[in-house]
Amino acid sequence: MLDELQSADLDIDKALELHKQGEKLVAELEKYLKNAENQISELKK
Amino acid sequence: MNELVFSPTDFVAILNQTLEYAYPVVAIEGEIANFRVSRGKWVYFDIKDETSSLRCFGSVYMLPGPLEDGMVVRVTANPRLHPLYNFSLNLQSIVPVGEGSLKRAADLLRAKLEKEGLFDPARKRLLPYPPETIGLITSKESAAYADFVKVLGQRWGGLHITHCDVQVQGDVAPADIVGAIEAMNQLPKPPELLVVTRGGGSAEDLAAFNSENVVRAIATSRIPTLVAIGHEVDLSLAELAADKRASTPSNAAELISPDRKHVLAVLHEQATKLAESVSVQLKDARTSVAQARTELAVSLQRCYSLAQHVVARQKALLAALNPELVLRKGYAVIRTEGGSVIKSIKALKPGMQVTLQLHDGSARAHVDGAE
Repeated sequence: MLDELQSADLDIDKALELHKQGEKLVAELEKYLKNAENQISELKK
Repeated sequence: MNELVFSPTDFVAILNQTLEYAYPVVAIEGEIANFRVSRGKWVYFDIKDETSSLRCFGSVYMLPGPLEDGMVVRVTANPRLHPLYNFSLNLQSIVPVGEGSLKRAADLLRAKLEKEGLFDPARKRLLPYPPETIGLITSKESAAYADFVKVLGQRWGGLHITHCDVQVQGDVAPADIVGAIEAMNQLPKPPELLVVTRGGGSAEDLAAFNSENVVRAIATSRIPTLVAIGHEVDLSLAELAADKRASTPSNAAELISPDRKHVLAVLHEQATKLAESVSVQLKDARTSVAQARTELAVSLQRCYSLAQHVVARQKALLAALNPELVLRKGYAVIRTEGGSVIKSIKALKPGMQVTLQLHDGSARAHVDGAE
């Protein structure tokens, strides 16, 4: 997705859409990371 | 006085009538002389003392076992005067008497049966332990019966005993014991083990257990046999033929049953050891789990940190590639009324209505001219 965003031929609308998808994906990954962090903390107790 | 005159035949007949009336059956003890067996079927010998000798005749099936000259025996017989062969005792039964003769008879029988392989250790079968059902052959009135049942009950309960009451000494004992062994073997559901036992006694008291018929019955029993006769020092041929020998009736009970108290003590000891072992294993397992848990946490933390770093970097790159940043710099996107992006001046015609998209909103515009 990042490679596509860096493409010179990318249409502005496609770029806006890809960026929106990327932000959603990052939010989801951060949610997973938070969950993993909690589980590791639990394991350390 | 009229003198009675008989023919030899008449006189023999009269003498036989007199004998039959006065002494139909006699028991005589004496020493064997001139013992011989004819055609494997008939037995002849003289029974004598210091001054007299009587001829005896009978079938080999009446013999208690091998006999030989010099042995002292007691015969039961019908006295008869034969018309041609003179006086003889027609044997009904014959038993050795006196310790020496009994021992000698037992030795001869032992040698004979040993040769046949009746005492071969390879014939011995393992006894069931403990047997659920026991066939007990002994006299109900004997101390042997009481001792066996008492010791068995003390050591291990719940065993089923089928008792066959027999004479264990005297002339009828051998036939009694053989009959009992055969009867036990013919039961629809035979016991798992046969116990033949009696207490101590003199050599004559124990003689039945050295008789050939009893020894053979024990050796051929389909049910495994345990024989305990007399005391520790007594060793009968019946015991040699049995699958296992016990020294006394009490010892017979001990050999076929575990001691309940001992078994409980062993079980208790094993339970304690098992509990200790489980406790140690549990402790070890807990330590291992804790260690694994720590190692897992460390490993996961490492993975987490790496993933967190990657996500942060991608997030920063994504932010840098946000198309809106370009619009913030003053650029605008020109669209047709239909919303399509206009990428070339060639697409613009004077009089067209277009939309200008900026970073914080949009505006409509009219094309006056295009160059």
